[in-house]
Amino acid sequence: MGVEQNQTLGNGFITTSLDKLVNWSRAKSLWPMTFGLACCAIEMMATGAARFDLDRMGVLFRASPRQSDVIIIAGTVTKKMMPVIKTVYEQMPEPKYVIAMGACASSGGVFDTYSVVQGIDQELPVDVYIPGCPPRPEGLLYGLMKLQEKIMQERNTFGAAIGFGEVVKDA
Amino acid sequence: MSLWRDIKGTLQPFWVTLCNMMRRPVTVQYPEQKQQMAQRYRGRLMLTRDPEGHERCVACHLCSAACPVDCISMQAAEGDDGRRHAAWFRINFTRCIFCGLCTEACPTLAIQVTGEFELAGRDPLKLVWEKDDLLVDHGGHTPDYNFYRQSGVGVAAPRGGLPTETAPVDPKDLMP
Amino acid sequence: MVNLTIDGKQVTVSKTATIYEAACEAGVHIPVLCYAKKLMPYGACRVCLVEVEQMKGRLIPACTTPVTEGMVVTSTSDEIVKVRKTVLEFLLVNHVVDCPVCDKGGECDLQDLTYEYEVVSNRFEGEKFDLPTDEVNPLIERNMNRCVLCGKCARVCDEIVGYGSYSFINRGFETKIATAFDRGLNCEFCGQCVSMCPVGAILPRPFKFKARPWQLKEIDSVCGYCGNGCTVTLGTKDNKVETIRFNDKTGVNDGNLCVRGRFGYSFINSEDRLTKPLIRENGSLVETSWDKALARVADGLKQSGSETGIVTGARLTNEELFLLRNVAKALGSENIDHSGGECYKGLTEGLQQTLGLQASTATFPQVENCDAILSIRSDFYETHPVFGMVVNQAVRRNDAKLTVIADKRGKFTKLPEAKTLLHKPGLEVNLINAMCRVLLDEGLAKTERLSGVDELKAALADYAPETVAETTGVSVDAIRTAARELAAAENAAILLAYGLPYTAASKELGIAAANLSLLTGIAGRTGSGLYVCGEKNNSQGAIDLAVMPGATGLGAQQMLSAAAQGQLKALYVVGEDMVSSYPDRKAVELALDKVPFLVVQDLFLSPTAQMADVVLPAASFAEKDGTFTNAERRIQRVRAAVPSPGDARTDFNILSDVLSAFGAQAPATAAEAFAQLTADTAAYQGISLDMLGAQGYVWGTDILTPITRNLVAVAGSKPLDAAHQLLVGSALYHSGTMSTHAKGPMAVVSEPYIEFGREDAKALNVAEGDLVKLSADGEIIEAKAKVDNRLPQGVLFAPYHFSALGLNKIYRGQPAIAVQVGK
Repeated sequence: MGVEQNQTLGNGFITTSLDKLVNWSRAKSLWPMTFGLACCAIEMMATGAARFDLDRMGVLFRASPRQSDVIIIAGTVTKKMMPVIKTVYEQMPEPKYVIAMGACASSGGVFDTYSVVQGIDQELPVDVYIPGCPPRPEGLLYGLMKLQEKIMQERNTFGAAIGFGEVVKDA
Repeated sequence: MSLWRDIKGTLQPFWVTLCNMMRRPVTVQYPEQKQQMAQRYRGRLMLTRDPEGHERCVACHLCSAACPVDCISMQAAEGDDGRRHAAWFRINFTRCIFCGLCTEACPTLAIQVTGEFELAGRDPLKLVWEKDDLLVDHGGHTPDYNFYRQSGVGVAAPRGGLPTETAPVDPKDLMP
Repeated sequence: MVNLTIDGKQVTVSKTATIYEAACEAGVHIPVLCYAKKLMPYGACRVCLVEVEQMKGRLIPACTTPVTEGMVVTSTSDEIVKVRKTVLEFLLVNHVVDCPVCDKGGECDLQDLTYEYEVVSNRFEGEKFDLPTDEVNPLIERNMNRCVLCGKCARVCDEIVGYGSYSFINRGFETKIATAFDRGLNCEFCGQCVSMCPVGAILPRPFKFKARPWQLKEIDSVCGYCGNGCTVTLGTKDNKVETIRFNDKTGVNDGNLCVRGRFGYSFINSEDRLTKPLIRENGSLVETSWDKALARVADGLKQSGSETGIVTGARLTNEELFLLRNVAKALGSENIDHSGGECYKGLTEGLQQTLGLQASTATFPQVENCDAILSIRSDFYETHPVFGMVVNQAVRRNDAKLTVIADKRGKFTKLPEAKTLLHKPGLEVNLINAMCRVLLDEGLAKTERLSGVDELKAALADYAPETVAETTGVSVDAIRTAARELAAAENAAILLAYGLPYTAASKELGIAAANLSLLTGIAGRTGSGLYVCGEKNNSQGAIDLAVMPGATGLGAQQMLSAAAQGQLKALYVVGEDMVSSYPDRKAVELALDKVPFLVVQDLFLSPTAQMADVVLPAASFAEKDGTFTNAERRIQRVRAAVPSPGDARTDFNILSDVLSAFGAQAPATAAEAFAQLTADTAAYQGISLDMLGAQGYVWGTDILTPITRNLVAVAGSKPLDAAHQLLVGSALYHSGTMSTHAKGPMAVVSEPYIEFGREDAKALNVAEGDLVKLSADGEIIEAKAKVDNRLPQGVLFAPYHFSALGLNKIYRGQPAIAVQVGK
């Protein structure tokens, strides 16, 4: 197709081990940007509380986008809020991920109206969708684990970290 | 004595932490430890079968009409034995709010809820489940119910042949 | 007028109203199950029981009790609610509880009543039936376990349709609705019973399990088949027409529909529809884009200029016909014509010469109150079934005397006390002349204000009833009685249908019918009318808009002969399958072959389209906005319900593009076009779109007064001297060639056939289903035989709708064709 092949460090044993190391450190310390908009925020808080601890997965909620890896859109996204979300998302440094938590963030949910964005994937690239209204804390944890699986499968992360080529995300 | 107060103030939190360190944590170690859901917990939906093994769903569109977010769609079709069933049946789980109104509406008790909530996925299109994905082999929460045995339509048994019914009348018979 | 009180509300109604009608006027809701506005009151279900002060002691059914002065009615009370609940419990004892699998769920009257009266349990246990479902026929399913014995199906089939397929059989608890001898249903399949049934006992099979009623979007439009112009409500889902619903609240013709209107909608969704324009390259048709196709059309037509011929069918809307006339003007050509150019001459020349009009003189509802009806040809029921239902109502409710001048028996001849003047084929004019002669001889003719009486008397010298009786084979008494009845009736109607299969002597028949209408005073008299009805849905519109050749223009038949001689440079055929339906197939094919440039605009790749140089895919009536004018001069709005398939466009859009290619201005929307055409058409002056209500708008008011009253002498014909004569006509289940693409009519009559009477079949040793060959003038047609008892000896019949039969190889417009029967 004529696409320039991404320069990678290769598939050698040491390279892939280093990639795995980087992936592991990224996956096991995902720092989300707190973006609780509506009821799903309550469940997100519940997941962060003692019963379903998020801290043991390495998750620390950061209030600043500049310090976060993933943004969990928890709640209904209104059209008024959309530019704010875009600004916050753009301020996040690479590598960044998006989790759409709940029905409203995945597809507009119950609110098929004039003021609600029908799913955050209309504007942002979403990595994991978590259905539920709201999803159980375990559901959110399961979604986070799915994201961790995705991160673990990335290739050439070490190379990208040292400035050699791009990360290869397999879908 | 402000010094004693300060020492107490420094050591007392440590004592609280020490006590609580010995207490059993309440954390549920998900995913190694999974909680048992309540029996009526509204998780993912499924399409059940009746005791004879046929699918219960007759594609009557009542769940679709009851659904507040319009996430259920289907097309009815007629089988070879005249039995009405769904040619295709689709639930969009990104829209579903897991309210259970469809379960309340279903007259044949076909669509029911499971306790499953681990539905997260990467592709939203994979979260639209078809009939094959939803159909299960058991009768769900109501394993003994067969709609056709209550209603006398003649599919499961000839009309009047059910235990709750009297035998049908022969209109050509001249006897009173 | 009578005053009464319902639930404290005072209301005044006419003396003949029932309590239920008075309650409707007062806005009081009384539930009903077996009541229908168009049927006589029946009182079968006992749901509408109310309390009347003056009739204490029992509850009174509101739908059958006429009002009396000073009645005090209570429509709800505790006792009444209890009684209604009990009635519903009784109905539910035997009614199967299969709402989830029944198509009627969502619009079922029984379901709604059960919900309204909260009948949650049944105190009664009764005997149950296990009746098999009748699925013998392809269109209507009858599940008698669901029947609530309201009798509406039997009543509508008796009172309105006149076929009488159902009745109550058995008695007591075992009563059920069944056909004769409890066989499967085999009837006209008009589907009136389907509309009337309040529960899911009678359901349409094409719609089985397709959708629930609340999922359908309903759009009112006008049927695109025949000249009755019935209101059809298209039920669409996902941009596909799923079913047709009837509308008896505001629909034209009381919401009645026939088999074509109700079940003939599947041609709209047919996969055979043309979706892309086609252009002939290297001898075969290839798909192309609209730009290329239109450019080719514009080029070709510019070259031919005034030597272009335009032939259209009568299914286009008024707006599209108007644009077509403008195309002719832009080309500088006066060669524009519709429907074969001959069959409508009954109106444009016949009625024009005599009455100065080119339309029916009254509207359909008047026929219900007629005392005498004369139908010329019994085929009227085949071409206009819903009008036939109006005639049936007149016969049954008003004791109208129906006389049918027919060459074959048909539905009309079976109506109660209908008299049939069964004559040898092609001699209708002779009979009408004889009737005129009787009127003049016996002094029954109303000759004041008429001109040409003496000339007519002189011309009728050869048409004494005795002479005509001998020629035609009808008895003298029958002719005399028919004439006398028609003259004596206060309200009378003469019915004549015209269409492509009835091209013979159309002008003469028009004149004869008009003569009769003048002599009896029918023309222009309130309550009476002469109805000359076009076969297609906009035949009247085509005539009103003068889609006919100008003074120097060529008519359709002349265009074909000019093309055959190489004098016509181009032919633009819109919505017409000339090869299949026009008389004389050989001449048509020769003409289309020889004409240098042929453009065909149609829905399907018809045999005509297959010979074209450019084929443009057009839209059906369900995909366009516009107006149709039906045979009673009612202009109605047609609304688009679904988008066109593929790249097909409406004729309006295509013609607008053609007009702009010629630099002429085209109106932007159908509404604008309507405004322009009403200004341009004499009869439509002053009509605007918002005047077209739910029942459309009848131009010229209900009764048209004749402008002139000229009697014109017209000669009859001689009977054909042949052992076997073939008649060409319309079959009830089909209309034109369009219905051969619809699954509904095709499920009933799927192949062409040649119909024999019983005597002929026996003599020729032909059994039902045998392949027979008919030869005439060196051409042979072949089809399966159908044996029935409606044809007299020596007369055969074949329908013209099927192109495969090649009927027009031997049909060249003659009233009857002499054939040799072979096997």
